[in-house]
Amino acid sequence: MYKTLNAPHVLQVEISSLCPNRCQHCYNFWRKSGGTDSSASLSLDQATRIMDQIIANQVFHIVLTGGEPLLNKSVLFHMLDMASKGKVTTAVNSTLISLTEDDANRFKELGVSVVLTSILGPTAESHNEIAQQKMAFERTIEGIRILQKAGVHVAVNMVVSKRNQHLIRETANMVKSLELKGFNCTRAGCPGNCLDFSEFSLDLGEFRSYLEELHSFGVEENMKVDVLSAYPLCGIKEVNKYQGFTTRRCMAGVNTLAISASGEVRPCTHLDMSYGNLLTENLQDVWKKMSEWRDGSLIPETCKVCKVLPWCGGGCRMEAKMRKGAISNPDPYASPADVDYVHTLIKSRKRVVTPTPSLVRLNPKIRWRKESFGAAVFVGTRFACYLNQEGFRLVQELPSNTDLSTTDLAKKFSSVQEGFMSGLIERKVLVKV
Amino acid sequence: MKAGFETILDSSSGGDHGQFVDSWDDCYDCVDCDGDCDSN
Repeated sequence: MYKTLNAPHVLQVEISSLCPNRCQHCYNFWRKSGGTDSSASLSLDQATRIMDQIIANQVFHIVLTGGEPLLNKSVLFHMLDMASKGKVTTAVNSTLISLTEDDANRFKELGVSVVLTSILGPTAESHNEIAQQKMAFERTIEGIRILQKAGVHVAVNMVVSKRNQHLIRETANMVKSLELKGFNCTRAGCPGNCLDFSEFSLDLGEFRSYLEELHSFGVEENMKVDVLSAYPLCGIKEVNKYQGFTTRRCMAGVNTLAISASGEVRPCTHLDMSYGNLLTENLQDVWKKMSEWRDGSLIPETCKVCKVLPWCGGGCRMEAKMRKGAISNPDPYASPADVDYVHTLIKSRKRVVTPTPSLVRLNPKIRWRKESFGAAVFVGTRFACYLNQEGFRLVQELPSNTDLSTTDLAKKFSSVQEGFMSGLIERKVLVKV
Repeated sequence: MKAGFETILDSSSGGDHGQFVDSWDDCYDCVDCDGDCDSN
């Protein structure tokens, strides 16, 4: 189903499995099980060995997470420093509990692109009840202020379950009052150690209500809203109204993976399935062992024949495993009865054509990595596109730091796929001068 | 081969998805970012 890349684009590294919070919905599979990973933290030596592999394999971007990465500060800043020197962009996921002004300033110095934190309700009472930690809300809010003061980009995600679904709008308003640009809101996924998540999981009706609440808040308040997980399109149903929520797709084992605090390599942070250990094995060898995530064998049978699959991908495999009994079962929010409707909506989408600027430049934040078919291209912290061999050759030939006439480029690009130049502009490989 | 974009989907995936399908975001990746990263 998917081509095999030379290595993942993005890695999430859980540098400590410890966390000050005890969130009721926490997706860390070791959290309540007392499993072997429950007290693991990477050492400096282990972190160095992992970073050496990340840099050698030209991984574009890493997210340092946990548990709580600030509980392993020396390793956190060591990895950020190595990444910065190795031209790997970084982000941090944190509760912000124990964040200091010095930490925030170091994030800024080391070029951390964004720090993501969770807000679970609009008040201390609602947040702390779910986080099961006194003062968690107050400390997280203080952490946001510290990051803002240091000029570090901070993003907030509300994890939504039955416990706090009624608080989405209040929470979004509170986040807006913090002068944050956006509000992310994501359904709680069933943890890998949980036999019954029914008191937290939204049902399909609640799931769609949550999407509507989030969308309408964004429209009414003119605030950017997003979801941070991949939902099946037939579950979303109104895919054009909520088009912004349809761009994510499970790419576990396809272009991303997770590394635990003991070096275990998993397709995604939510999953408890290890395919090897980066402290004893080569990343490329472990990556090859994850082929079942790329060959379609984990895609549900009903999705394999679905005409929407190329846009969808089948939703979350962890949700299927934990709530539907098998990893290759349908995502619990899948609604096959709505597939025809969704397909009609997708086919009715019109591409927005933006005027071509007269002058462009090659984006100075461009990075690429050779692949068997051509190249994978990133712009800043974000995936831009895949290029075939000829497309890659053309882009490589473009001079950097030089104004380029789009008229001249059109002549140079005379033997290319239709829309190639406009696609490069749309994907910010070329930027308007 | 004409110079252009490539998709990570191989030929077995079917569909008429076209060349722009690979503009997906990953789960939990690159939050609250409009791609040009100027805000960072």
